Amino acid sequence: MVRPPPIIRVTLLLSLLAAPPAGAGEPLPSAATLAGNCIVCHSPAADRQSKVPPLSDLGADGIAAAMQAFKSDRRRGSIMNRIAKGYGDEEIARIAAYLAHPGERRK
Amino acid sequence: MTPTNRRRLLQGAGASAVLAGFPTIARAGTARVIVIGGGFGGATAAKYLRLLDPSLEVTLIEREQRYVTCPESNHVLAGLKSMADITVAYDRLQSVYGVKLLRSEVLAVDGMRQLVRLQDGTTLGYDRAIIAPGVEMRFDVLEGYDAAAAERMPHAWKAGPQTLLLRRQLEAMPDGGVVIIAPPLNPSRCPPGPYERASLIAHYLKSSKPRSKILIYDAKDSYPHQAIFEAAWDTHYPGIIEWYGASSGGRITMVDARAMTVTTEFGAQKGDVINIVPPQRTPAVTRESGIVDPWGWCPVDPRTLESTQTRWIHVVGDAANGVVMAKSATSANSQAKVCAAAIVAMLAGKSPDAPSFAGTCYSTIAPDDAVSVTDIYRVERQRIIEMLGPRGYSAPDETPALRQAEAQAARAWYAGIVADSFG
Repeated sequence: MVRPPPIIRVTLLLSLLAAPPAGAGEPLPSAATLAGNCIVCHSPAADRQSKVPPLSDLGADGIAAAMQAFKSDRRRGSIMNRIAKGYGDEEIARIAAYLAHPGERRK
Repeated sequence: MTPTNRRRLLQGAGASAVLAGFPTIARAGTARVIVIGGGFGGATAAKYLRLLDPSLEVTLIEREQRYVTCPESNHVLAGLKSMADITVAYDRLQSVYGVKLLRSEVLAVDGMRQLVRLQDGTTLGYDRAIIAPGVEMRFDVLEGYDAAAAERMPHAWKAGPQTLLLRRQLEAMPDGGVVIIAPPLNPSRCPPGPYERASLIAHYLKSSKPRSKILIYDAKDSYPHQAIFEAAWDTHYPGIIEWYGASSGGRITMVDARAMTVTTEFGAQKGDVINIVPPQRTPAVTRESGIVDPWGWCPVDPRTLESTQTRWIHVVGDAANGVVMAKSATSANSQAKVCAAAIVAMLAGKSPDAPSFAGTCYSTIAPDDAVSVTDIYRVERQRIIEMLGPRGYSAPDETPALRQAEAQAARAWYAGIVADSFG
């Protein structure tokens, strides 16, 4: 394989770093895949140790609104402000819909 | 996919095995996945495979009867937790999720023949294998630091007897003693871990042996959350912790376990308790299986965690890749879920979902003071892309109330990840 000259490699790297957060032609992860990362800290076992209310009580709209409020820093949390910034709007909608109905996912 | 299709697919896999000269592993209708290593990555993978497809035969092979978690093992060093608090059993993986447990040691995975070779000579066939071996301490890098030296100068970087050894040494140390902590270069398991360790040991010394000191001789010139740790040490533990970066006298060139000294450019320094965290690498089982790259880690396809060196072998957790994702329990848990979903999809003849990884890593500075780094990754153009970078770190100007909230979240995270990974 012919390696691109260094300047082009740097440009490629920069273009990767500058890639927009969501979409960009790649398929989005499924709701289950995205939410799989949330349930580490949002589970019955974790809830017993924290003040975080069970997410299923919030409903999909409530979860999405909370994520958006953290994302825009309108609401201050500990780590959620940072986490919410890692996801696009469609991803937040998928996560919220999934986490709102824990009974429908496999436990 | 219908059961008939699956059978056909599996017969196809069996046929290739017959061609390879091993007709004995031709199989009936159930696909077999073998998971090697029962840490956070392996346990999560085994559990989620069974959750996603209860028809799978999933065998978890683990050397030990119970698992001692590295997360919160620094709390044991400080006397804030007991060994029992950080020890988990595998019972629920078996009784609730139907994972088969096999207590044994794996020598190698033969990817060509799709066989796992155990130490006792047994071989087991598989459709997919997941290797989650964690890391191995290197005893061939730092002069004087071999396996025997680690019994005098514990690394305690794999939780278990080493944790207990270091705790007992701290308990036995007289007031006014010197504790030396020597963090390694990256990549290594849990990059902020040595500094959490220094913090929590200082918490113990402050109340029990207040005239003692902690000297950190670092192989690096900077470390995660450095500004926060330094300010917090001044507040919580004034005068106890001194940190020396590699270029300011911290680089250790040699240790002498008999004399209990470490040698830096300033000469030999004596310690009453010396904690060497040596460089790490992927364990022997991966090298024997031919899935390690020249940089010493296991390269994987980020969409499936399948080895790029040998098909049908997947690698999750600390041993995988070595560069982009921090080597942490959450990374391993996250990778394991992506891997399990990908394997279930591929065994059913479907293409795997786009992956999404996240890792949250808390560092506890004092019982009511913690900071964190959150990493979120997606895959673009077959590369893992980090979404947050420096924005993922706790800000240096967080209020004490927020840091207290982080400490509480850290406790919730620990309870949550143990439950999510081990059932």
